[in-house]
Amino acid sequence: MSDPSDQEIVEEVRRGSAQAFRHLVERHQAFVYRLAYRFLGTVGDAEDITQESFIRLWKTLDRYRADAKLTTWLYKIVTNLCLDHLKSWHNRRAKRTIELAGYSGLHSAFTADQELINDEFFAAIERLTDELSPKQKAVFVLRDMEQMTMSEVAEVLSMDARQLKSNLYYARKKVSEMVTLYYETKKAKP
Amino acid sequence: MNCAESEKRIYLYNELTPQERYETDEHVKTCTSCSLLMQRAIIMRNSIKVHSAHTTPMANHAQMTRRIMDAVETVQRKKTPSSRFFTHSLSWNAFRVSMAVLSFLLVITFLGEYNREAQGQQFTKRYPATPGHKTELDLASFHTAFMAAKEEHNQHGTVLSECVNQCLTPSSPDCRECAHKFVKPFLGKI
Repeated sequence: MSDPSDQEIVEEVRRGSAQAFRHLVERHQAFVYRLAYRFLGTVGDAEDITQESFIRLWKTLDRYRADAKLTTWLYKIVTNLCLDHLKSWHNRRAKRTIELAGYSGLHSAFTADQELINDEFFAAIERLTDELSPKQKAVFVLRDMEQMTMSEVAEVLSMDARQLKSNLYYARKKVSEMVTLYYETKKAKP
Repeated sequence: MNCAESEKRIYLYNELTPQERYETDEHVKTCTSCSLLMQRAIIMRNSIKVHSAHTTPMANHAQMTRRIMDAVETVQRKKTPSSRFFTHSLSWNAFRVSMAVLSFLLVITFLGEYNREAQGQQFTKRYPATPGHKTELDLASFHTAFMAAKEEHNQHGTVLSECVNQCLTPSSPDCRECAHKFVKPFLGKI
């Protein structure tokens, strides 16, 4: 027997089945956590946001329309919670500082223009995105890290195409410049 | 195309139309700095794409599920039908009823005050100060004095004169004077 669709599970949850909701949690918690982690960068915050996202999903399931994908609905919930979190300057600053000293492999990789397919590079990018504004970070995470389409990102963030492109441009430009600056600094220090 | 426009298009390369891509490619072929920028942008884009396939491992999947379900259950318990009735219906109804009672009391108080003031005004209009009686009679004083006068008349077996009875609803200046004369001796006893 095939797995029930999200829509079928949602109907079960609406009929009061806690077991069905558990099924939804088990199915989607990994991506919810991953997204929250990419936004916030700490395990504790990611876990808190994951929990809060599912509570909000449970509370708002009555408003969920069947014609939309549940994952899009969840993306919206997680993104909004993360944006709220990021907008708090103290939260954003107190918990993380950019410490790229440990990523020694980046220099040679980037200057040699090789494929940067190592975890260190990706971790560095994730940390550098802390320097972006919450909106820019949201666009960057959803489009470039989550590989969502432009229309999906626009829907999740309730943003028009022009705003979206503008934020994406500045986000990519900033990240690229920060990475370049980092390698130039490394190069100058033997 | 100039380099500024080219730079913008390089960062948004995946979002360009085929025509825009062609124009950008043509510029990049002839511009060293834009060519270098394009190479870096491609490396960044591809690296992020490759790494986005990696999911950030969750510390303990089952533990997270349990944590979420416990949290949802706690919220659910707070929203049981009886408590929901209390929080959403009973308290709301109680609030509405108390507001209605408060409004009613305010209206009654206002009307009472208004009525009393209106009567006072009516009385002082009817019985203005007369020569030899400098103070205007207020309704309560006049009433007390009148009742005392009436009592004394009753004790003596006399009947109030027609004139005094009429003076309770006086219409002529004579009647006002008559009422004052009748009441005046009793004012000092109040």
